Amino acid sequence: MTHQPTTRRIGTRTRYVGLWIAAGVCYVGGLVAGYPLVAVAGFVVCGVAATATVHRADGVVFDERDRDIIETASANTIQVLGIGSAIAFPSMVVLTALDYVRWPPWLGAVGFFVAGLFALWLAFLLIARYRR
Amino acid sequence: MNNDLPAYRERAGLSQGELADAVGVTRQTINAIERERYDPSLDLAFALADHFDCRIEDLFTPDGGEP
Repeated sequence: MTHQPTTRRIGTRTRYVGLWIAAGVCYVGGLVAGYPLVAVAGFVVCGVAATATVHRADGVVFDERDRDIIETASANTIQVLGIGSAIAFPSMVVLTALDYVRWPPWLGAVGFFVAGLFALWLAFLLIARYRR
Repeated sequence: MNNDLPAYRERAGLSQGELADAVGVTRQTINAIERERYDPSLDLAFALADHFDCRIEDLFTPDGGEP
């Protein structure tokens, strides 16, 4: 039957996404419930099962359009994070300096994380630029 | 990008899934191309043209061009 391969591929994609959702639920659920090792084990099992699902599939599961969608989503994420950080962090610095607010300790950690993320992004940008 | 892919596919008597299998992409990608929501890569455009034994320009035309 001509429809079988298509049906199987849609099933594979759905199963892949479902397994990663299950991995996330296992991880967060396990941590919240106070079983960190079970959380990690559940995450790993579901993650490995998801990866195996794609590798064992007969046809193409993800293709150039999926890569294009992921690249667009990633670019938008970086853009929103960049614009948000460029507004939020200087604003907080000014407000803290003027004594309107107290700099929350966790914001420093977020700042370092964002800085690290953009350093990584810059590194990949330079590598991609060098290769072209 | 405008395209004449649905006409070529139907003329060949293929479903979207069969064409997808033939050129190594998913059915969703063929559907997106036919609805002009996704422009294929050059590799895929060549593969489609090769499959239908025509030129890329026969299948795809820039926006506003005559297909």
